[in-house]
Amino acid sequence: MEKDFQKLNNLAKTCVQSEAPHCVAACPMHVDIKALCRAVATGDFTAGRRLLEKTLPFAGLICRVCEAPCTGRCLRNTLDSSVQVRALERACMDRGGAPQTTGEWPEKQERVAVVGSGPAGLYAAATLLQKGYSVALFESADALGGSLRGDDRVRDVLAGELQAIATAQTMCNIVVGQDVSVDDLLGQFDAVCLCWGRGQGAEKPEDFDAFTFQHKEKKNLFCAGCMLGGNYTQAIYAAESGQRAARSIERVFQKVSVSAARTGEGVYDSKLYTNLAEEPSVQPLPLADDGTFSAGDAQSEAARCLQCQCLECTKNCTYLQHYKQYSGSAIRPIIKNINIMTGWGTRDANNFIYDCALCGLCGSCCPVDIDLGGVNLPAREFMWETHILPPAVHAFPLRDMEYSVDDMRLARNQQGFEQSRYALFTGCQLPASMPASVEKLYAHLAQSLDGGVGLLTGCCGAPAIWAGREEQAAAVRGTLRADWEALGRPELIVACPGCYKVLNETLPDIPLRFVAEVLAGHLPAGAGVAPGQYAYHDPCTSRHYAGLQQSGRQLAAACGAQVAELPQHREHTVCCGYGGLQYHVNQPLARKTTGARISQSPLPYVTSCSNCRDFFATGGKTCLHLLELVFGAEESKGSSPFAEIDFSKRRAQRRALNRRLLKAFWGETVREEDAGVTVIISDALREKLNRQHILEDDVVNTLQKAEASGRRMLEKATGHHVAYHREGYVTFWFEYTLEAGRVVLQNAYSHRMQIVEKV
Amino acid sequence: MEVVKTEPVDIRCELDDVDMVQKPVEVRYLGHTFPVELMSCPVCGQVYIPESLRNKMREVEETLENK
Repeated sequence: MEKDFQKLNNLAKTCVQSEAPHCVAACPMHVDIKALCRAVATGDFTAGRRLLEKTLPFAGLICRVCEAPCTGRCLRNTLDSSVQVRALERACMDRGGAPQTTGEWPEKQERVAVVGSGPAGLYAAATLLQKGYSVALFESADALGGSLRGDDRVRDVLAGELQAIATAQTMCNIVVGQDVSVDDLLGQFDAVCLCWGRGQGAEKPEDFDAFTFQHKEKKNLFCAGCMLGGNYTQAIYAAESGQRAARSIERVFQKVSVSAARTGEGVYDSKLYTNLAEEPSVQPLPLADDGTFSAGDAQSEAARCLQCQCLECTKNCTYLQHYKQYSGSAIRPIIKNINIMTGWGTRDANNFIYDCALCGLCGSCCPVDIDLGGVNLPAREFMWETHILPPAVHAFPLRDMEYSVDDMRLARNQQGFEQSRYALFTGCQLPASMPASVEKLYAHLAQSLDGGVGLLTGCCGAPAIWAGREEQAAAVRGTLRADWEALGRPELIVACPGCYKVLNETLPDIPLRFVAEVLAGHLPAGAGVAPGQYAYHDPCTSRHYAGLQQSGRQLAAACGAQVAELPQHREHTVCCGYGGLQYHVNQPLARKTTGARISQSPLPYVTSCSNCRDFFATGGKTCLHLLELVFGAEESKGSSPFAEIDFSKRRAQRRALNRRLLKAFWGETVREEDAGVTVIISDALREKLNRQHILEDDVVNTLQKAEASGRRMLEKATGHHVAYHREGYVTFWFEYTLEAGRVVLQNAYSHRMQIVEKV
Repeated sequence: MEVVKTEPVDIRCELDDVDMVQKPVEVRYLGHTFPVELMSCPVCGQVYIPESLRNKMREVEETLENK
């Protein structure tokens, strides 16, 4: 992954959230219009005035004469019409209290002659004065102001605004070129900035660098304003050119590059994306005859500002909201997290990396296609390969995967067939959650399809993939491939959309069909047991599989369901909380993820994924699986809001299903193993076991061994027997009592540390 | 390093039928080893970790996992 760090850094740079709003990018002075509107919308004109004066010398002038190029780029133009920014600036200057004095830099020895006192000359002079340089301002007329002097809009404020350059030496009635030459000025001053009108003097715009405004030969001669032509004949562009020329002059004085690292100066294009789909149209307020707003109208107008930002990823993702991040901001901390040398810092982003549902929603919403799962998953893989991902983090779901593959896997041809034309692949969680449906499904397929329908259970390896353990996932796939070949390479009828995605991506030569498509073509008699209105939930694993999305809806409709769409559907669907093993590493976050999805419609949901169905049930949401529409509802889930998923019950259901399947379809009788001990567990403790990822099998095995060997303790105060057992990366502790020959569990807990016993 | 000690608990090893006593043992995690004093059987060495210590252990586990 090391070689990909630069690629990831570059990916972070493509995020548009940190781009300036289009209005700010279009403003030559880059006034923070978004912040200005925020302040005015709350009636805080003082904050607005401070903000303007911080960015904008002569704000009282500019708010009257600015050509407002910002309004041309305002995204409101696509909805109604742009925010009237200049009038809002005027409102701040009129109502924002006394002017703020800005700090000045220490006095410096360099002297600059500024020729012309229109907007460009004034801004050049003010910028240089503010930086501590001495300025002589040459004006051919008898007073300062240039083109502003004849402008009625500023007549009342011009004199007051000129106080900002009161410390400049004013040289009126001097015509540079006649009374004194530019070369004379260059001899007398450290730099000269020509801010006079077009056609004056011998210098041409092309004699100057188009960005820095430095003369190409005379390195201490600069220009700004109207003489440059084009936009620079407009006040706001001229003002900015004066400021930019002053900055160039300072760079010459400081003996640094005049042109280096000056991005962000002048007008530029912003790539910021803002989703306006939900934005209502709000008509602008009319201005008074003098071009101003009342205080109230200014507030209302400022509230029309869209406060442009992207955040498409965060708006749609509970996980990013939980961490207060967006994709672009998250990538660098992820890289830092996995790059830290062991012992040289804290890996602050570990949980962030583990908690992502890897569902792809951020990528499908992002205007530049940044999929954070595509960063978090390789990060997990890298962490696992370099031994910085503790094995205990994903131990529980991977133990379940091993159980699926090693203990619960079935690979059978249909009785009477030497090989299979089709095989039902159930995956691991569907049989655990909906055993009756699996049984009915297999019976129906075996009866309806010709050529032999085999049965494949086991696992596709998704838990290992999500845990970053590609080697383990490959081993699971190897087992599946061997089973598939042993059945005569059948077409797999895949009952789980997650498995479909994994198999499609990792075993592309195995022909697949999604179960909904098959059932829609072979609907059993009596299907459609629960007609009614449902909202269709697309599992996140089907995000990029239009066929799965469509066949699920078609099957639901064929079963008599009226299917409504959720606000986020198909490629914009949302994870249920199971994706990426989120539930296994951060249950409170997974509950939030579940909660966000189930609140999107009051209708009952229907979906094609048993995990989604079960997670919604934990939140108290009725959600039927498509197979339940076809074959009837599973027995009552009996779940209360946010009850834990009962992993022990799911194991027991799988064992029972395997026994039933083997008996019903292959005539084999498998006896249930006798654990040797029956443990009574209260509902509250069962909830704790599930929360702490302790299986009832762990309880039974540990207590059975303790009782058989006598290796247990007795805590005298409570009368509880105590026994412990290490399983993989976890040590389990159980407190229990023996009551009338029964074992009653009293408490259970676990830790990851390993005890080294010493005799 | 300060050795973590648990409060003495009146607990008996039922295998050896003896009262357990506080003894130095070690706990290991992610390549780190820590000395602790836990109630232990003087004969077979089995130890007792009360649930109250489990929460402290989780904090240490998390610190080590983020190193």
